[in-house]
Amino acid sequence: MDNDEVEFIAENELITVVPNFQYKTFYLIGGDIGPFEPSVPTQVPLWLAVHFRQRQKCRIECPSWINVEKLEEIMNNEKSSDLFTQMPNPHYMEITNILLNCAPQDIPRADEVKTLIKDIWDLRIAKLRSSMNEFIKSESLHAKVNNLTLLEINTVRNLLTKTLKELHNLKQHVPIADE
Amino acid sequence: MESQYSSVLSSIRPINTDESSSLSSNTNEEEYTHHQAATGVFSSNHSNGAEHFDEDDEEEEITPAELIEKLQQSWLNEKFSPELLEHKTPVVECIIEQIKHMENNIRSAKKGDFRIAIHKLELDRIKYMLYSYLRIRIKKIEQFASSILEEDVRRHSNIRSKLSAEEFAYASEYLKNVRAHLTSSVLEHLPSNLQDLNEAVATVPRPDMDKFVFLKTMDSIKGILIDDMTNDGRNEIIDMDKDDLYIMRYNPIKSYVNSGEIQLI
Repeated sequence: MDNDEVEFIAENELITVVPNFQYKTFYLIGGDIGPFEPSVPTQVPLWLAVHFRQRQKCRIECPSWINVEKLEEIMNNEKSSDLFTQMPNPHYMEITNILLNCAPQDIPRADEVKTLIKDIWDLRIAKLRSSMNEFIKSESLHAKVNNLTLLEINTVRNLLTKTLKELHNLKQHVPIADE
Repeated sequence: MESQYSSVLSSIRPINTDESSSLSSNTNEEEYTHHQAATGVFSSNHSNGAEHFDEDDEEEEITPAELIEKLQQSWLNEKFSPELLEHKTPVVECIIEQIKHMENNIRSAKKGDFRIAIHKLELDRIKYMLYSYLRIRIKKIEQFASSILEEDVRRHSNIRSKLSAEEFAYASEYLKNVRAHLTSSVLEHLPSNLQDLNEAVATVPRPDMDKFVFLKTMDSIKGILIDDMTNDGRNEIIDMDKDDLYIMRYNPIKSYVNSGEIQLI
C-alpha cells in the first residue's frame, strides 16, 4: 500500500472545526455534516476540514492530544515501556502532518509539536526494527502487533512480509535437502 | 439475489425521476430547494432502512455511511489478500447508485453553489476507492485467470462464485484471447507434437496463499490452527481477542476474511 493511501484513510477521521460562515446541513453520502454557525464548533471529516481551512472558512480546533505536555507524557511512556504503547489516535502521524501542513497557525507551539511527534515516531520505529529482528530470530509463526498504527505497519510491510515469506520457503525446503 | 437487488433500485428510482423533473424547473432558487428536499428524502429513506441488500442470504439494512465503510473494508481486504475474494456486487452496485444520484444532484444545483465542490470532493474520494477496488480485482483475474475459472467451474452449486457476472465474462474472454494469441504467435510454428497449450504451460499461476499479511480481528476468535508446513510439526493453536493486530500467513486465516471476522490491514 502506498503511504498516500494510509493518509487517505486517515482523512476520514473526524476533527472539530470552528467555522466562520453560516450554512445549512450538508447531506453527504457518508453522513450529514453541519449545520454551520459562526464560532460554533462542529465535527467534520479531516478532508473536509482541510478543504475549509484552505479557503479560510474555518479555524481548526486541535485534537486535545496535539499538545506539548500531552505529547511529552506519551513520549516518556513510550520510552519507559518495552512494548508499544497505545497512541492517542491510530493515525497520529498522518493527522499531525496534515494539520501542520495546512494550519500551523491553529496549533499552539507548532514547532515543538512537530519535533515531539517526530521523536515519538523515531522512537517507535526504532523499537519496531529491534522487535522485528527478535521476531525473525525467534522463528515464530505469528506475532501480535497491537498498538502499532497503520502507517507504522506500512513502513515495514514490504520488508517484513517478504522476509518472512522467504524464510518460510527456506524452511519448507530444508527437510528435502536433508533426505 | 439479483431480483432482490432490483427492488432496491426501484426504491431509489422514483427519487431520481423526481430529481430529473427538478432539472427542468426554471428558477435556480427553486431548483435549489427541490434539490435539497430530494436529498433530504433520500437520506431519511436510508435511516428508515430503505436500502436492503442481500448478503449471505440474510436481509441487511444499511445506511450509505455503512456502505462506504463496507467498501473500504472490501477494498483493503482485496488489496492485501493474495487470492481473489468473493465479489461484493451488491455493495458495488449500491455505491454506483449513490454516486449517480449525487452526480444528478450536483448537475441540478445552481452553478457556483458553495456545496458543489464539497460534494465533488466526497465523490472523488468514494470513486477512488471503488476504482482501486475493481482494478485490483481485474489485476488478480488477469493474473490467475485459468485457476480462477477452473475453481469456478468446479465449485458446488450452493457455493457462491467469487466472480461477478461481468468479471466472469471478462475472465473467460481474457483467457480465450491469451490462448489464441499464444497459439497463433508461437505454438502454430512448432512441430505438431508440441502444439498442445496445456502441456506447454505446465504450471498455471496460482495465488501464493502463504503470503504474510497484517490483520485485525473484528471479533474474538478461538482456536486458529497455524501449522508450520514443515515436517517438524511445529503447529500452534492461538486464540485472538477482538481488535488484536497480528502478522501471520494468510492461509490459516483465509476463511475468517471471507466471513468478516478478520480484516486485513
